[in-house]
Amino acid sequence: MTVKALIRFSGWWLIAIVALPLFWLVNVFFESQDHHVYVQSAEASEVYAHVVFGHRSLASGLAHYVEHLAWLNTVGAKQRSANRHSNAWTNPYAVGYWLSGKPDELDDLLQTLSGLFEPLEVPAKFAAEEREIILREYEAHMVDKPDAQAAEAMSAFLYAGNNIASSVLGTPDDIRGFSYDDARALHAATHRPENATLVVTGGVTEREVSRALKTVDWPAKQSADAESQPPTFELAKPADTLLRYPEKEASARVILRHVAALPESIPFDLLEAHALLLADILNTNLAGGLAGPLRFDNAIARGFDVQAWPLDERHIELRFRAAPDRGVSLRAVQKAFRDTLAEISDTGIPDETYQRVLNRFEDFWPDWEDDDDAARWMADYTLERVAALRQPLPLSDVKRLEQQLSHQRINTLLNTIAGNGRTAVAFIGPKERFE
Amino acid sequence: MIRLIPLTAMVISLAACSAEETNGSTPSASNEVSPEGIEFTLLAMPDSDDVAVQAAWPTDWAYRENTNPAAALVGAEMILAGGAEGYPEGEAAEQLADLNTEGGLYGSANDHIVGELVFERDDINEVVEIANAHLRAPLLGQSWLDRISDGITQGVREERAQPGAAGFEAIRWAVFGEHPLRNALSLYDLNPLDELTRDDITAWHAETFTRSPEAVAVAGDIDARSAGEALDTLLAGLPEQGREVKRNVSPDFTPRRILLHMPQAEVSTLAFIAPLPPTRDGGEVEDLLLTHALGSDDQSVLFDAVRTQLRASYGFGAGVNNYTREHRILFMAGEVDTNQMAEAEAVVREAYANFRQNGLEGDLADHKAPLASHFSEVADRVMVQANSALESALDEHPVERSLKQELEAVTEASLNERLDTAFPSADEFIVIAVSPDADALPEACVIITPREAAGC
Repeated sequence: MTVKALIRFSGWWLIAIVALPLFWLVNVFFESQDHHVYVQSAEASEVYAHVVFGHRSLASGLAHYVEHLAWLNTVGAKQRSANRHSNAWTNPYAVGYWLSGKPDELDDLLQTLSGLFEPLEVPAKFAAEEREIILREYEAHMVDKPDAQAAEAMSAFLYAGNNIASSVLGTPDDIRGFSYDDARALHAATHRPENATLVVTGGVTEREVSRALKTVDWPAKQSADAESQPPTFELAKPADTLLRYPEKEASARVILRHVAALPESIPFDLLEAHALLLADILNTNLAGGLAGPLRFDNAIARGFDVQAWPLDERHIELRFRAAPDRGVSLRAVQKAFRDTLAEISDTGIPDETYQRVLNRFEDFWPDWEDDDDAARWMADYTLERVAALRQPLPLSDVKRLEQQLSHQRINTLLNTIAGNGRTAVAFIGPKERFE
Repeated sequence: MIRLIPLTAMVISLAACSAEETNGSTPSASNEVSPEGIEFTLLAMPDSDDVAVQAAWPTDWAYRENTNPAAALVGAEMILAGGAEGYPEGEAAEQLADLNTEGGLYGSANDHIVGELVFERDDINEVVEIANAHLRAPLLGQSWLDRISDGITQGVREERAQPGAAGFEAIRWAVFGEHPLRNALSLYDLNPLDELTRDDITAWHAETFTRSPEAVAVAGDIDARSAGEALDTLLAGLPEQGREVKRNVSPDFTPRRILLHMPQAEVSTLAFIAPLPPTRDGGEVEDLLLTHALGSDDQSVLFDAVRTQLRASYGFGAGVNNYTREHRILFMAGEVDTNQMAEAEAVVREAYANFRQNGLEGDLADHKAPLASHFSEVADRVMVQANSALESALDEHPVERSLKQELEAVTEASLNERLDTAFPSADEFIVIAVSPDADALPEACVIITPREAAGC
């Protein structure tokens, strides 16, 4: 994924089946009556075919186990040429699989991926061994990784009552307890045409994709879309939690995540753009930013970073991560952040600051005059939305977002994020730095 | 710091060069001299709104006994964050953000400090003035020294608690012993950070940033005179080079098998390293194709051997890295099941030996395709092109070099020759295992601290 996409997914697990993925992505859009299909054409010598299934599984880690087995069943265990790259991933909403190749190989790529709809036929012994591979994956991602451990615990608290509260990877006990029968059942329930979205990007046209789907007899939807609504989020009652990760050798840092409900809903894409712009403002050393009070005018945090993103049209999350200055406790950094954010919220973002950062923000979008740049951006955007089970906006609507940004909405978001909600704080490092 | 880096990162640094086609126009490379005598490579990239500048200042700071190796890392961050004459701390970053400018300073293979800037052509005068102030007269205040060294100290302390990092440190002890370069590569020994003074930083700054970078590259839609004048402004007021750079180090790559026993480790790691010829000698494109096939994705030789067949690891990869520009290494590494460590070592060795003997499997054109695609993709990116030109200049390759043509020229024969003459044989690797089980690698030299690897 691109850096932008990674930032948007920050705080969530996106677990890939292969540790060292190769992801050179290139990237319009059509949706047929028989299939959910998006096509993003570009000048490219490669084509990427992605299939995404919503899973909405409450069982920690099970969807990820299914992903491993389905990929092995369909792609991984089969011979393919060196120019064909593939990987698979799981996030809190969906599992995804992709395969790349030359544009004239599109039929074959889709034929291979259509195997995802077939029942799992991995030998039972191999399926059992794959649990051990996932344990190695757990070790790679979680052992001696306090940030990853904190991220899971914080998500479980912040998202309580929602599917996305459960761990994508699972605990070692969860992983050891996976059964092949459970995996097959979840696969059969989720890897269905009604639940699949195909995204094809690269050197192919909509017509070529449509023809290829017919050629390979790509499975068609058999029933109405039971799960086509984008995921919604329900905020549990406001509460705070403090998680401590005393690590003698770890660099001292505080991570604060806060989820709050907006007074009224804002279209998802517009909300996301405002959230990103607000984070950009808060990261500056301008009036209304945090860098002056925390880093330059006062020696509280030697470094910090603020990110913000929507969970749905009504809920927004903010994450603050900071390293304390010499002699400053993590508790003091946390308090300084909350106090400063409250002060900025009371006064609002000054107009001069808003305009300066807005001018910089135009780089968030591609150069729409540059077809190649725009196609790549739209490919990333489309995949990102589909991976979160959301419909990407058409190009014309994306282009209009920039004109819909407003100073008033930024201040509304700021007031929301500085107000009530659920807050999870993690202290990581030598425990004498905590208080 | 030597860490495992994915192939994708290496591909990005190995970009297409002068003869690439960009949007139908052909950039040209030329050697130029500024009005004040600064020699530079100009990559004319028509239709590009951005300009990139890269400069590499030679240094042997890391090679000397009487220098503090932490000064370079801390100093580079201080220049960027701590303000400069006329630019109080925290202000220049906002000005540069308004100008949509990005810049940085980083160490390149411990032989050079590389400064880079990318900005919109119309802002060139303002950008080079800000950059010049930070190169010429950074404030280098004590409070920023404390701040930055605190952060680096904590980061190193956290990293060295990781088994994989401890393993690579043991290899550095085996290869470099007591040579100062060893600690400069990682700062694993924290004493230099504890002892670092502002005088160390100012001494490093004064001898490093001169009017005589070893190589300078400018890429963008800019003529030679404008580029030269900008470079003169960028380097104005900097001193002439005051000392001869001498980089003397004799690494010992004698094959050894070492087990670093870490009873508290929750995972086991296994790594192989061996030397490769420097990039100056050519063969980079072959190396990229070969290391990709050896250990980059699920179709790689090592993935198949260690994960798919042996079922001992989530992922086992390979790559190339530089200790110095002269001393490059090939590495193969990954976390493995502690109970399968010995078997994994044998499987990796056998898989590598077969690979070295038999070369790439499948159609060569299929192996080349992703790299060719990447070269085309980055052909209009000024920063990538400037970096490619800079690296080529440092390696004394001709200015008209084209990686695209080098890729086209690769044959199965040239790859096999590369494997035979440049890649180490399977028994020429230093093997390091880090494990909670002292017996995980039978007959290995067992140590309990990285330092002891020097005696293995």
